Amino acid sequence: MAQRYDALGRDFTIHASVCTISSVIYLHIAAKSFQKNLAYRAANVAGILTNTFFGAIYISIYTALFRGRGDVGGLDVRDAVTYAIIAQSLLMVMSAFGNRELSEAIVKGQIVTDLSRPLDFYLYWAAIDLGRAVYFLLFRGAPTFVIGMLIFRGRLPADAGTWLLFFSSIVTGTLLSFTFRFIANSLAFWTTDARGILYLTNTLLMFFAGFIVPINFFPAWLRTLAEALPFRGLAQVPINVYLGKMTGPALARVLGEQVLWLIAWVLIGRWVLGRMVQRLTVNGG
Amino acid sequence: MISVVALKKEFRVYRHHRGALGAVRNLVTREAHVVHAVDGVSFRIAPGELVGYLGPNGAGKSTTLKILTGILVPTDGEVRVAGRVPWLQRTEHVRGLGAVFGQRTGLWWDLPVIESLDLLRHIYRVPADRYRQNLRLFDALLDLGPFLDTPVRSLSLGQRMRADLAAALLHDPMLLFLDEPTIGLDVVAKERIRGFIRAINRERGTTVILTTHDLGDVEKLCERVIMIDHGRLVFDGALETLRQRFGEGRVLVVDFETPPGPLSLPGAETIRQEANRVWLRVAAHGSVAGIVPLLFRDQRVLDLSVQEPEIEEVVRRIYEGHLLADEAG
Ligand SMILES: Nc1ncnc2c1ncn2[C@@H]1O[C@H](COP(=O)(O)OP(=O)(O)OP(=O)(O)O)[C@@H](O)[C@H]1O
Ligand SMILES: [Mg+2]
Repeated sequence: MAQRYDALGRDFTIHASVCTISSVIYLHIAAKSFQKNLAYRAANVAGILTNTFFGAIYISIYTALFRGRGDVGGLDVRDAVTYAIIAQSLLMVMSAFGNRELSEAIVKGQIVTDLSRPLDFYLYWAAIDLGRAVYFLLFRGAPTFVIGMLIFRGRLPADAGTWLLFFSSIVTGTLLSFTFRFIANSLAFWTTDARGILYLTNTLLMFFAGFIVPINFFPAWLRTLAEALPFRGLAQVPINVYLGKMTGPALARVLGEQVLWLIAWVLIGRWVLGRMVQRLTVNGG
Repeated sequence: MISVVALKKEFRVYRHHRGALGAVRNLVTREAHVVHAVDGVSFRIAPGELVGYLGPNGAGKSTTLKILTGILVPTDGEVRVAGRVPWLQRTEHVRGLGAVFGQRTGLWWDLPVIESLDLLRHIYRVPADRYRQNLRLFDALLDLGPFLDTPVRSLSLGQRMRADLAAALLHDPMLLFLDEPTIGLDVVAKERIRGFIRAINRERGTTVILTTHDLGDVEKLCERVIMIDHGRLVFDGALETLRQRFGEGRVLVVDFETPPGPLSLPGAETIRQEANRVWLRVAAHGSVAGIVPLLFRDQRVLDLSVQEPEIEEVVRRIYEGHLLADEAG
């Protein structure tokens, strides 16, 4: 096989096979991240109880709220109960409280060691977050969902197709969450008050995702705003898909929009990362 | 293997004013001053060398290693490592490189050591049998066994350093950068790590650059020493040359039968006297053999010993700047 080199002398001959090998590397990273989360088993049991407890509180509020009314914002009382259960199940999958791992690595300078590995820094953190999300889906989301459904008798989806769409929207939501948090965490590099920024961005994320109050219940003007933002992909979209409130062309449009947002977040995130690496390598942080 | 020509790294440091008013001033005025962390350093290192890179705090050692690793871009100068410019081809460059920054771990904090090593095996694409072979060897040399299953966050400093060294060498790099690998370790741990570095260098021909403040590391490991101060090269040569060139000469310790009077000996100077014992400094190029007979002339000598200049002492004198002025001319 003839070898080909680019301007910097990099070998491009085996590009295709290298690509497949390197995606395997990121899967290994994701697996290790999954494993790392597995270590906190007792904390997870406490977490399931907490999620169920808050689910119960939301449900009792909704039940009181719906007394005498058939429908609020397109949801009936059983829809609302289901909303509360799924929202609690998705909280940790979507990392709705945010996580500061990346910003801490930046602030403490651990990112320097990360840069001395033959890895794509963005994909490396994406893999870590993927492992985390899968862990929370299986060990936090699923149990919270099953317990909630058994106790509070939520709705089940109409058919297998709905399940499939529900899962696809969870995947999109997880990616939206990661790509957004990557940008928010990276800002730690330019400020001495990373916590302030993360506090603000997480509140934004959690509220406009529809985790605190279903977006279906928002007043019209706020709902318009929430629907223009990408964050509803983390809770409101998957839950409405599950409930069969978002179907057909409307759903296609929403998912299409989310994919566009996703592309934008990835591009912005990579651009910010590029600036950060450049600042770091030129100025020494 | 490594060639560094007129390497310079400047940092711009902005002055920070304190307090609320200060924060506003920080926004408006940006008073910068330039730190010349590395200021025109040149050297070449051949494959298989084990070089000690020395210098007082803030001399620019870590900065140089970061540039050689490819995570800092220099302000000026040329660097080639195995034919590559580290910061331009970082990913390819680091693939053939092992680095341990002693103050930091390259392992994953929450994972057991063995899991970190396993992940590195995939990242560097080490074949499975080569991985097993290396792990067995490193275990024999560093005794990793007892803590392989312990999460990195619960390791002692010495254990962590051993794990980090193993991690840096799993993929058989041709080059190893060690920034203070023995910092904070006890005597036994230091010995073990020195033995390991020596073995890797001798048996695999790995080129090693080592920074340290422990001159024991240097005496036990390095034939060649590069010393910098304030970002400038002060010395580059054999450790023995350093001792001869900058040492204040040997010291002769003499025990007389009775306290001697003032001694006047050509080529030797009394630097201390306690009762019967006298310390004499023999000039750097003077001869002990020439002085000894003179001692026996008027007095009975009970005992006599010669002390070579301590490397610690030599380096202390260089760092304190007594000799730099002469060298600079
Ligand atoms: N990111 C940075 N920004 C500004 N100044 C820096 C930066 N990194 C290093 N310096 C300065 O550059 C100089 C050299 O630092 P360096 O860390 O290379 O020293 P060193 O020889 O490793 O010292 P030590 O023995 O204390 O580890 C110091 O004056 C330091 O303050
Ligand atoms: Mg240093």
